[in-house]
Amino acid sequence: MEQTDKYYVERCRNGHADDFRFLVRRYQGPLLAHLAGRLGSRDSAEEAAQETFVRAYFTIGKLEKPQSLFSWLLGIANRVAKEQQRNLQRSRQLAESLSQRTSAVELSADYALERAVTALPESYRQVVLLRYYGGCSCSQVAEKLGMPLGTVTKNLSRAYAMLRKSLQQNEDCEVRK
Amino acid sequence: MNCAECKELLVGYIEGLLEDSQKQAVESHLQICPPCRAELKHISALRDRLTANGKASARIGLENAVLDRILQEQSLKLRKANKIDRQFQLWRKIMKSRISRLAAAAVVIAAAGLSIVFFGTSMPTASAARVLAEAAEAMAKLRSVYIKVQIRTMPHDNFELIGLDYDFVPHEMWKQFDGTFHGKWRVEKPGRVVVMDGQSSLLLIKPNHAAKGEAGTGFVLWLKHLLDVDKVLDKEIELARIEGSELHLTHDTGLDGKDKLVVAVEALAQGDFTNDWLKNKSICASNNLRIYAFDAETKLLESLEVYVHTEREDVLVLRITDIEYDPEIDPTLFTLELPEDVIWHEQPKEVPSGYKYRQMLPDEVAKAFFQACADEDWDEFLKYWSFSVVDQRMKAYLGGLEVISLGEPFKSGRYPGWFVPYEIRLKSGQTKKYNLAVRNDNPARRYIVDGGI
Repeated sequence: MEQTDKYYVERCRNGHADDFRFLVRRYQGPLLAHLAGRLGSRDSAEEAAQETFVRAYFTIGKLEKPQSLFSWLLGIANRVAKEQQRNLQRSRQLAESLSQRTSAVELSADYALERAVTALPESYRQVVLLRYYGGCSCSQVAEKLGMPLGTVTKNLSRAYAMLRKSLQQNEDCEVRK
Repeated sequence: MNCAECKELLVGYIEGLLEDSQKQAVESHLQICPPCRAELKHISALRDRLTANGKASARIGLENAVLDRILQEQSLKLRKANKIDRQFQLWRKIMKSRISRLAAAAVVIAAAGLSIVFFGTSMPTASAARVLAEAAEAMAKLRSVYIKVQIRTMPHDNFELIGLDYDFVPHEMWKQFDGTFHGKWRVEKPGRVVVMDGQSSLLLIKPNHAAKGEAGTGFVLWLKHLLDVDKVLDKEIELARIEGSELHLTHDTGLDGKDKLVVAVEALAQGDFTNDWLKNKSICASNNLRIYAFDAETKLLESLEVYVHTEREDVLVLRITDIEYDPEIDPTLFTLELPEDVIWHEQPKEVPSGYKYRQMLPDEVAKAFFQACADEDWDEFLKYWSFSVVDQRMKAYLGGLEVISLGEPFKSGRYPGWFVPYEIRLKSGQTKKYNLAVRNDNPARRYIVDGGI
């Protein structure tokens, strides 16, 4: 039987570092997609996701509600992404000042989609990330986010509408270019 | 079934979550409605695209890399913790075996009623009192000081705030000892600056919020204690007496090969933490170890590290990275140019129906405050706000919000007011769950919002 987040969080707090593996497995997909949308590069997203998990492990004692683990991880991921963007900007400025060319970043296959997902309001984004990148059914999403099933489908429906709009705008921009 | 009802159910239909009757109704409608069929097609295509992208992400496995890094960092932290522990074990051992050497210090401790532990290897007969007096004398000759400090905090938040998982934020501090009681000083971090011109202080929260304070104002709180570098040891002794912290005094050889006087202070979190919301959010609200190093010869402070103890580890939250004694300080540093659109922090004034507002309890104030935001009634908002006007940024952020829930008010640490748990949905769709800080220790005696937005 699949254990709950709370179970693994408690195991980690009790010093069973290896059980953190299950939480990484569970949330790496959603975190990677979220970070790829924010950072625009697969490599940076992987690096940031690793850092997010490591920080989460060492501060897991401070997680007040283990059932809200995913939201908490997204919060850490946002901080890590912000730091990484700042560092990247600095190194780019440095490279430019030394007249060096920075190497092009490798975008993921569907960066436009990831960027659109990242731009969704938080409550919609969490549902999409868990449903499509975390491999959860709608009922599992409802359980993880502590919301009724009807709210999950309603949020998905609104998220689809926003994604379509944003992808359409993106395509229009591409065409104009 | 009409189109709106059908669209409402389409996601449930695709996900296979509908009851048979609903499913049949949707299918019948789809057969006769081309726009809804097109909508279904769009959603299915988007769903396929998301599924494909999700599968591509799932091919990346981070488990081993993450576990390897955790193990590496864990062993590093363990080594560091062992080192600190060894240091204390060593002190304890020496304390036990050289009782006679501690006799002089014990007299001082007993006389002062403090728990000062003193031992020295190079000057076994010196008393703690003499060392402290020498340090005070050396500091009394200072004309100016410049200190660079790194603190785990938020660049725009108050100077007292610390967070164990925040990044280090650089702070700079200048002080001119000009013979007056307060001296002139300036403390600055990326989002805030305070200057004190000898008479009064001025705080700027960038870009445009400002507050005036008296000479002894607490804008920089714990950092003030560091700024008064000439009184740092006196202050620690005073705190030891009031708060029961423990002082250890020893000698060490620094990296520069010079003899150092090391003062380690073990301090306990101050305040009531029945609710631990404020625990570890400031140095005073944490169990912490402060390690000061003074040059043994000149008795000038050379470094400080502050570690917060948690159940899992000791986290370095503050460190001095540079101190310069008697540098030339440009006098303009002790003045502050404010932006033209400055918004002043002010004490709440009496308002019509003041009695009604004074009667309100913390949770009622929180409710009324959020209601004013929801209604975008900014005149009402200002009755609970500590600045003279509400700027556009704040209006855009809070205007039209929706309150999801309000909880029971609670107290934490030494904060004089109350915290009211809340969850709101902002106009942007984003939800925020936090605690609103309200306090009424002001001349108008009514609760105003002091933080937590």
